[in-house]
Amino acid sequence: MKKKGYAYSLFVFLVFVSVFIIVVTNVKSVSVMQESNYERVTIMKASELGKNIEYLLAKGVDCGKIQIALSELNLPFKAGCGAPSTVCVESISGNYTYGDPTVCP
Amino acid sequence: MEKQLNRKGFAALLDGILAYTVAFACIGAVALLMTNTREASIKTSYTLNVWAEDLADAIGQSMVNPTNPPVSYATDWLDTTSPEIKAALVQSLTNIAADKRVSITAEIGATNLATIGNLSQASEVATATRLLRHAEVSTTTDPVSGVTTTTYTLNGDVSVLTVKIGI
Repeated sequence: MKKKGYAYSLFVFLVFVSVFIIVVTNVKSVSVMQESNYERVTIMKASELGKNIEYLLAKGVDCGKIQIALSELNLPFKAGCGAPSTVCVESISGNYTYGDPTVCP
Repeated sequence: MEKQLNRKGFAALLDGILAYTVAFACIGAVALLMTNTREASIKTSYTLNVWAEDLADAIGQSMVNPTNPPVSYATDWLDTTSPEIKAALVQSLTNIAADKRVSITAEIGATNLATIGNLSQASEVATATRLLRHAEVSTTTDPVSGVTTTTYTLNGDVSVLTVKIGI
């Protein structure tokens, strides 16, 4: 009778551990997915803005005017330009850099 | 009566196992449901941002007066608010919003281009911005012929196009 008690207690404990592991793994994977998604979205936006700035500079727009416009934006990354036509876009984490990082603010 | 209340041995063990297992399974199911909801929200956020960036590209490239070269080209981005372009833009955005069941707003600086739906009621909002060359509009009318000519002249300034899409 005692052996049966130990067996069933072990079974209960294993069920508890399994559920615990599954839940923690899922929570962790969603947390990683959220972080990776934020990074992906930031890189996408940074890339698009970098091309945008390059286009404007190629069309002869003054870098100073671009800097003024950029300063009014609340961007989750760094973006800037330097005369005559250098562009910089850099994520805060530093994982993504486009153009010349020395002209980033 | 006492026999029923004082369950011992094998039956009591089974009761305990069942109770614990059900409790852990319920807690686990709730936790998994919450994480699945978060996962769906993350995927929605990415999709919305892709849509917002695509819309910003399309709106920026539509800011062109094709009948007034050489200021504008088919792929140039200019800030113009001619009534015809604005009407076509609003109609296009309305169709997109109805198809995707989203709310959309587009602004250039402080000027509202289009507002479809109510963003304040959206649970998730994505924003995209583009820098556009600013073109000033001037209209002249020939007193003899009565022909009105609209001219777009770049003034060197940069305007900010902001597109927001919410679901």
